[in-house]
Amino acid sequence: MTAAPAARPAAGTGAGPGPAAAAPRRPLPGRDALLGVAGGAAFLLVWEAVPRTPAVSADHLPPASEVLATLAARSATGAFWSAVGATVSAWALGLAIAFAAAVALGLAIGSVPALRAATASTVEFLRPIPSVALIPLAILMYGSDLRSTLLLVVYASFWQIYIQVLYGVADLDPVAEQTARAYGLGRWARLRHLVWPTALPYLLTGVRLGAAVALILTITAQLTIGTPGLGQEISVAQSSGAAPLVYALIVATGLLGVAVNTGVRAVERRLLRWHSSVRGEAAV
Amino acid sequence: MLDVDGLRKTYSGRGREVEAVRDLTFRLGEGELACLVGPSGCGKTTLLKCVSGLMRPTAGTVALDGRPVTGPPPDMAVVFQEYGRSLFPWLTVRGNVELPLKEKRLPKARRRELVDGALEAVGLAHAGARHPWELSGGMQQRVAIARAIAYEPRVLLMDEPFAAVDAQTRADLEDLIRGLWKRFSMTVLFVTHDIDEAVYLGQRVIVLSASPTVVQDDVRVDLPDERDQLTTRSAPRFAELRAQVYREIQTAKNGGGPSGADGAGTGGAEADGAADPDDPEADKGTGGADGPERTPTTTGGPR
Repeated sequence: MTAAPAARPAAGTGAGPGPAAAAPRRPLPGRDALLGVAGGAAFLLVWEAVPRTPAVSADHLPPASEVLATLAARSATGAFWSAVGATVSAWALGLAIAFAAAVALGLAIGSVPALRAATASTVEFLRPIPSVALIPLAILMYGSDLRSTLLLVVYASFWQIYIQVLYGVADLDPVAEQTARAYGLGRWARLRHLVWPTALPYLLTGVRLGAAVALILTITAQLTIGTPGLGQEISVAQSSGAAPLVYALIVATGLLGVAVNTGVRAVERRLLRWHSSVRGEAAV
Repeated sequence: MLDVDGLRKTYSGRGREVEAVRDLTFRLGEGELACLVGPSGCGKTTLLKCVSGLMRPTAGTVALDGRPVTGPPPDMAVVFQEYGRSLFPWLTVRGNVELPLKEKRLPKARRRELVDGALEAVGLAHAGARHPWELSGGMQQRVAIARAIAYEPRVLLMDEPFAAVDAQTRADLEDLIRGLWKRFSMTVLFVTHDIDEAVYLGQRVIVLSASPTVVQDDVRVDLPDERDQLTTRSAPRFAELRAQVYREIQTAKNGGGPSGADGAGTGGAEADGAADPDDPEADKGTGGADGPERTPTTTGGPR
């Protein structure tokens, strides 16, 4: 009777190994940060050096300094920022629509086991369809309108979020649910105070995955359909044979991806301070 | 005030029926503290779920002040064994205690008063701003008790609340419950597998038979009202009562019902040996552990 869980209070959440538990979210300790900077610098050096060797033509791969200088010059223009704005707004709008639909449907369908079972086969069929396969359909329906970009973005990111919400709702702890019912929490109160926080770690994982996919599809749509944004800029630069500019714009989309991921992780950390993946070792 | 009459619960699933509780009838008077003991797997949890209105009985009734219980009654609070899963990790200690009061739509000032009072009563007045997972197991269970007290229940149900805390903490919590019971004059139904705990805490010990469950015996605990971990537990009368309950449970496990007619009880001991109070060792830590496994309660019944 001495081996009591009193010795391990940190484990008492029942939150379990949630999807967000995969990677540690602690800020990197100094040594790792230093190594990261050194690695990045080495990469840039190699990129700088390789085009100056006979192995790779500078027409195909301009040196890092040239690309970054092009990017700097470009970012001083209004056209660049309006392209960034168009990309970000299409991305955000698509993600927001997917989020709202996935949360509403996920909570509703996830809460009703029969409904979930009935829809599972359809979901498993629709989910693997690559969004890019819908490009002709989008053009057919909306031409080069913003709506065709949104169609692709929403379709791709919806499933990422929806599936996670389903997992989250299924993770509801029966003891917690009985507690809520015993203390008079009705259906809505349980949804708000119990189901929602339970599903939140999963939901945010879904948002992180969905945000990345949404960015990919936004750029893809702009490249292929020609809706305004960074993707379209890349395709214009390509047709005018401006290799450094193509690279500079590609780097810009990469930076956008980093920003998106960092942003979502920050939101996760903030909203899930209580979750075992974030709170780390608890002090007693 | 709490009447359980002819309660019966059978679970049916996959073509077979399991009779968890056969025929339970007992009555708790206003302000009584009764303990319910029985061999492991005898349907104590099932009974508690039916009494708390979380589960519909197959037959029979539960009534509170003559009103039948069909859902969780507003003047009844429950403390579960698995404190770690019963408290919400995303809320602070204070938030956990206050949440049911918000749902009761109590005004803010009254809520604060109740939460402060309840936290003070369980000795956690300083911990309101912390999260449950920052606290030890015993403290977490105190939070769950505070949440129950703040709810201002007339009936407090406790489902093996101290099965997952260490012996030292357990003794403290037992005394806490006796103190709160007197201070707030509630009716308390305390389910436990621990005979000593039942005799020490209760005014009355209701002994259940092995599954399918009936009331085996109803022992009045005529120990003095002021109890103390040292003197009460070493009193000769305590030992006598303990032995009496122990014998009843042994009889129950060996299939002898009060009427001697429980044919289904034969072999009900299921080779799990003596009725040592530490029996559900396996359950230890379910209050603290996370992970996908669910508590191995007696029945995997529907919620």
